[in-house]
Amino acid sequence: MATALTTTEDTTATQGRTTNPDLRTAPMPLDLFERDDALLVIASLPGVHSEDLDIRLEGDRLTVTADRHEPIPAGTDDAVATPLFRELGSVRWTRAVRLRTPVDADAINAKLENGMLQLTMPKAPEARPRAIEVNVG
Amino acid sequence: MFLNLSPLVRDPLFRAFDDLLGDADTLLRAPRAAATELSRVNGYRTDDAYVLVLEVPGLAKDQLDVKVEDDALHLTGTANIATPEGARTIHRELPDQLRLERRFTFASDADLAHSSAELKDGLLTLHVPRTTPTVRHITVATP
Repeated sequence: MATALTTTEDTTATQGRTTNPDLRTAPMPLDLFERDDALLVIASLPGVHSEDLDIRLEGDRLTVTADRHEPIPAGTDDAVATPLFRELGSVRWTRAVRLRTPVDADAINAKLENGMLQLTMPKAPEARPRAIEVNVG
Repeated sequence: MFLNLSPLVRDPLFRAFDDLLGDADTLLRAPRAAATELSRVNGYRTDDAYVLVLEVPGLAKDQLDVKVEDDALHLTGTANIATPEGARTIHRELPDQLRLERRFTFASDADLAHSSAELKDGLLTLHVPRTTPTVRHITVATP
């Protein structure tokens, strides 16, 4: 069976997004799954808010870009807080995926929960398995 | 994996925090090596608290356990990143299971008994109030 998805480490994945020199760009780790009716993407995006998530489907090319700003706790801006150690900087995670199975772009659903993104992309009707009724003559 | 953060704090003003950082210890065991990158932490000190922010993606509230043990905060958590029901795996990069353990010791002004934790968007924020140090003057006796 042909693989339904391929992943690409694509340096042009941020096309269409504003360049922000404060954000370090990093590849987005993700899992890819396939059901009979949909393709699924799960990605780890701790600290990303929904408004900082950009999901685009152009032809068969899915691009996901997520900006995570340094998670400085409320009320601890630089004026009153002393950073003791900083491992969580600002970062732009990005990933481009080429879909070999056509999906219904209007029905794509994205859920962001506990820092994990789940993207459900229903397959286009022509790509779904179809049962053939056998007529006995 | 042992992660010693002490060298990151060089300012002698914050030398007391070497204790806090010196015992920072991450044990993250998962079938896939990238898991260790998922538990990074930021630490801050304000006038009235210490604040730690840790990455815990995929962990729900009931999968995290934060305990006060003597002068330390001990965090453990486990989460499975399961294959969605009825789905076939095509490509995996995330760990099957994320196991996190981290321990922090604090300076003597940390009020661990009143510490609190908040989970939001895959980040766990630990808030440890600071107490005002008691100053006691010692009279110098002369013979």
